[in-house]
Formats: sequence, structure tokens, C-alpha cells
Amino acid sequence: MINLVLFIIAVSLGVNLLTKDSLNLTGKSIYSWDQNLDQAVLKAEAKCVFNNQEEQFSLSPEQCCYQLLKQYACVGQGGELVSAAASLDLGFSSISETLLGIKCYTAEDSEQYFTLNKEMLDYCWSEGYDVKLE
Amino acid sequence: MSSWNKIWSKSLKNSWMKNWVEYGPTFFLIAVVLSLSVLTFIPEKSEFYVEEPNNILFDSETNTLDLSSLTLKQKLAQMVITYGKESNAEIYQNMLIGGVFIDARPSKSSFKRSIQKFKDKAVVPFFITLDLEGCLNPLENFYNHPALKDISTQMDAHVIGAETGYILKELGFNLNFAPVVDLEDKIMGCRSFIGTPEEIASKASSYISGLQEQGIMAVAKHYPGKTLDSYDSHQTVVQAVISADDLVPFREAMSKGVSAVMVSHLIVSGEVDSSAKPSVISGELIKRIKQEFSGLIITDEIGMLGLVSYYPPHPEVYTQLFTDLFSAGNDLILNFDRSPERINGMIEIVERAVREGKISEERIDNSVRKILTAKGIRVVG
Repeated sequence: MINLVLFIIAVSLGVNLLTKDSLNLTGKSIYSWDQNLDQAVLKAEAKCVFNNQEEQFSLSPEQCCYQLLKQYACVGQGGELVSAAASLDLGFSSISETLLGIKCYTAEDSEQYFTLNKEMLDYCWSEGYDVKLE
Repeated sequence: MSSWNKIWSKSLKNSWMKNWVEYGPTFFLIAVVLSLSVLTFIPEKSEFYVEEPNNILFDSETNTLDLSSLTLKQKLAQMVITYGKESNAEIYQNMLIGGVFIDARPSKSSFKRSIQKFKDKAVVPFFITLDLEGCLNPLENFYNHPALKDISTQMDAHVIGAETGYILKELGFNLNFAPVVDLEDKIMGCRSFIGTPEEIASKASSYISGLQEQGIMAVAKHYPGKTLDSYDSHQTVVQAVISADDLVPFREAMSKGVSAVMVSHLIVSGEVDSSAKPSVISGELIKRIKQEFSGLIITDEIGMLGLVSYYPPHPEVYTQLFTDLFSAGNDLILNFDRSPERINGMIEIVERAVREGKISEERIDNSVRKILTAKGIRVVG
């Protein structure tokens, strides 16, 4: 019985090691097309809104990542209903029904800030952008 | 006595063998689990390391650098501006990266501290850059900067440009990716000046002179215009028709001595034609800029707007993109990837392209000369 348990643990550790190694692409092969499959899924679900006082603008994932990189910090805010964006027709038709749980800003009390969902954040990280989540 | 010894030794041997048969596999599995655990939980050490360069012939007294002392890889690194994460300062100094981009900080002292880390021990000084373009303000915790749309006169534009230049200089910056001179910002609604193309051109030029009078290089962006005007969430690299009006602020900025122009990812036709390619990889378009402008030509951030999606899906797509970006004639490539290893990967791809004759080394040298001269270095060799 103990041998069976040990065998299972050994196999699990071995599989874990192999997976870990396969993610460590280095040097010339680091830019590969393969990683784009998961990114496409994240990108489809990513949502990002720029809030400027009373105005709201929906941003594409690529534009959003670049802007998020420049922010001081991002914080979880428990899911805020972005209702004012209902009138916008800039690509994400269902923003008004979307809980965007993360806020990113250059200063905590800034009137200009971004709200986004977790998929947006994950997408930016997967694209190599250093978005800082507190 | 000897018979007792034989019996004892036989019984010991039997017992050892019996134990081994019984517990051997368990001991073996325990050993395997322990070894794999150690391997799994050892903290990963980054294999990527660059040694401090000792080949650079740089006379700090006369501020003169011998270009021929740089390796091809170091010259290509000079053409890259990347994301300035403090923990990467040493590796970027050793790689001879051209510049770093600094994001928002909570105070003046934290900006100064971060910037100093990049300045200390840098063999060749970095471009220390930021994106203070009005609207979003990375200095917001201690400095108010109006949105460009709220700057109403040419005089105000000059004063604000000079004030901004003063504070950026104090913090340690030398290059600001501003101002936006696109005629309209439909994406965020606040980054463009308001007015006729001529009014926008004069406000932008005044803002640029204000910045540059304080020793901060300004960047007119995003050539050839309409970059913040075009939006299609289903299509990442979009197309636009450029009018003569779009070019008015760029021409004004270039003729008044702006330090640099940033080229967009749009595929353009009309007054400027990018030959059905994104502007930033269009050699024809960049050649046209060079005919009327001798300053630096900078790419927009290359991770943006799905530039890579312009190419058909292919394992070598990044090789093609990086080669095209450098061969098109851009002087500086903005790649804000947080990984020094991937930045190095890009440089190695282009290094290979030069060695294979796809890009001439002379073309690389011309850009590096411009970059070093803009940094105030006298270039020989």
C-alpha cells in the first residue's frame, strides 16, 4: 500500500517537473506562435473601460495593456457594475452587464482610471506586460 | 568457533536479503520522491545573464565613443527602448539597451531613486523616458498636468510644455513620448489638442519648444495621424485614409526641430501610403519621413494593436516582424516586454538577420549614430 502511494507521488512529481521544464522556453525559441491559443481565449473575454470623469471609453485589449502598464497600481474592487457604458457602442455590446472587478490608476484619487476584468489582466500578463496588481 | 561464525554470517546474510526484498522498493521509492521533491522545489535560477561589457571605447572626458568598438548585438540593443523594471537595471546596462520606460510612481523621490538605478554604472547613458501626454498623468501624485484638449492657447501650450520639461529634468528624464499631434482622440477623448489643423500644429509646436528648452526631447506622434481615430474591436491592425490636414502638425513639428517622430501601426493610404503594410514596417513610408526629417524615428510600442496579427499565423512570425521593424529604417524600437530574456531574443533574431545579409550593418550604424548623437555623445569610428 505504502509503495503504491509513493509510486503515485513520484509520478506526480515527475509529471510536474516535465511540465515545468516545457514552459521554460528560452533564447531564440522564446517567441513562439503556440502560446497564442490560450491568449485568444483570454482576449475574447477581456474587457477594459477607460473612465474620465463622466465619460467612459471601451478599449481594445492591446490598447488597454499598453495603458495599464503605465499605471501605478491595480486593485481588486469586488466587481463594479459599469452601467454608464450602456450607451457606448464601441465593440463590447454587453459592458453594461459586465462586472469589472479591477481598477487601475496613476493616483488613488484620480478622475482618470481603468476598470477591467480578470481576463484582461491575464491577457496582458500573457502578452508580457508588467501590470501591477496589489 | 568457526562454525558459529558461519551460522551467524549466514543468518545475517539471509536477514539482510530478506529485508531488502521486503523494504527495498519502499526505500527506492522514498529516494525517488525525495530527489524529485528537491528538484521541484529548488527556486528557479534565471539562466539569462549578461556580463559587464569591457569592449566599449568611451572617453568620458571628451564624451566620445568609438562606434567600431561596439559589437553588432550591442548596437542593436542601443536601438531598443524597453520597460524599466528596476530589478532589470544591471542586465540592461550590461546589454547596452538604448532606453528605458518608467511608469507611474507615488512621489518625486521614488522616481528619482528608480531613475538613478538606471543611471548608475551605465556604460552608455540610457534614454530615460515616460509617457506624459496629457490626460493620463504618471506624475499625478505630485504634479498636475492638464489634458491636451484643455490647453486653449499657443502661449499656454508653451508655458505648460516648459513647466513639464522643468519637472521632468529635475526627476532625471530626458525623453517624453509627447505630444500627440493626431487631430482627434476618439479612443480616450483627451490626448489631442482641439482646433483646426493649423491651431493644433501651432499649439503642439509651442508645447514641443517648451519641453525641449528644458532639455527634454519631445516626440510628435503618431505619424501619419488618424491613429487615435480608427477603432475596430474586431480588427487589430486597422486601415485609415490620410488627408493633407493630418500631416499639418507633423510638418510643423519637424520643421521646428522636434527631436523625434513616432510611427503608428496603421495601414494608411491617401496623402501617405504605407503600401498595404502597417506604417511601422513600411520602408517606403519611413524613407519618406527621412526625406524631410533628420531626427529620430521611433516605433509605437510593438506589442500594441496586434501588430503581429498582420502576418499570417506561422512559427516564424516574430522573426519576420522583428526583421521588418529593423529593416524598415526605424531608429528606435519600443518593446515593453517585461522579460530581458525575450528582449534579448528579439535582438538575437535581428542580429541573425544582419549576419544573413537581410539587413545591412551600415543601416544599423546610421541609426546608432543618430541615437548616440541625440544622447549628446560624440561618435567616431
